[in-house]
Amino acid sequence: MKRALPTLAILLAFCALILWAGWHNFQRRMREHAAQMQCLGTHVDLIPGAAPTPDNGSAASDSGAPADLTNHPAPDFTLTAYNGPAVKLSSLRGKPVILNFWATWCAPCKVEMPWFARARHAYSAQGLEVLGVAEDAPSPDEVQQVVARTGADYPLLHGTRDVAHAYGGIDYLPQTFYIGRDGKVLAQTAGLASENEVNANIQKILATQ
Amino acid sequence: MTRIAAIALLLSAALAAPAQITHAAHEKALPGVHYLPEPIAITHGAAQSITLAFRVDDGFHINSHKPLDDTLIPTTLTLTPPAGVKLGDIHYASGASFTLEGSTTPLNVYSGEFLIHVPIRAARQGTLSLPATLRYQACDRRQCFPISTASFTVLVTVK
Repeated sequence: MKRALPTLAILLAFCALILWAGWHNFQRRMREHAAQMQCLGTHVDLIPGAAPTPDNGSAASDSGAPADLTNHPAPDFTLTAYNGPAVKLSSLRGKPVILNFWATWCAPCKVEMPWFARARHAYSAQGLEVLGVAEDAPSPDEVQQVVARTGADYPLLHGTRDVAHAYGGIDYLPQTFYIGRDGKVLAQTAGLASENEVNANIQKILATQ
Repeated sequence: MTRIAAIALLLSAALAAPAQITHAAHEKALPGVHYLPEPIAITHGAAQSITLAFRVDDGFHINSHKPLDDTLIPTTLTLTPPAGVKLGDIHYASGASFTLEGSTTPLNVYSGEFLIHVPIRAARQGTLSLPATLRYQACDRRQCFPISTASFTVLVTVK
């Protein structure tokens, strides 16, 4: 046994050395990995708003698709306007209403806005009303720029989180709800629609009693 | 005795082996903008330019740095240099012209890969870690998504 002691001591020292080397190696690799992940893990989702999160109050479906309000009463609201008095949606009962959610940074929105403005003038005798709800809190100057570019001379309203929530979260833009004279949503579009589709939906709400 | 020594050696060898790090599969539910990091090396004391590469997922675009419309959100890179590092004016890639269906007004956008060049001068050797943010606003052909600001880190080796 006595003769084995030096051998055992050498063996233990060897094991300790290997353990120390292993630990050192592990720590170094963890540091390298952390640096690598910091460098490589830097992609970000392009569509942060598409998936609803509890803190943004989104009522959209889990897939990020807008809620389907077709044949449901349009949720009522009162919103202040950039270019006139506040508007209460239910006060427009009896009129067909186009409710369009937009933002100054949304290029497709600005494609649709002139169509809505033209339709409002074309069907004013039938009472067609258009409401534009801004989702990005633009300054009055920015709104004026958009109006000048698109001819959107209809009420442009300050959007709120509650109203967006009531209409399914409005996770992307544009989104438009076509509301009949009875206050029910007859059609809705998410994303840029064609002018033909817009006109077809307008005809639907003009035909309501 | 021999058995104990063998066990000790096996245990030590196992601990000394390179750490195996498993990367959990990251499934991206939604399209994104990606920073494409590549090794960047510069020489200390010299004015140089580093190039950062980004990629926008297929079917999407983001506004370029000069989107042709004052109300659109330009893509903007912000870098925070540590002490001893000077950055010059950032040079953004030119975007491509893009016109939405139903519109006659062209936009200027980035799609696919695009590059941003940053003039840099570092006083000392070592590894630089530059905190960065990319602010952008993304759309596809029919819809637009909220403005996003993404944070990441640019690593630069200064020789």
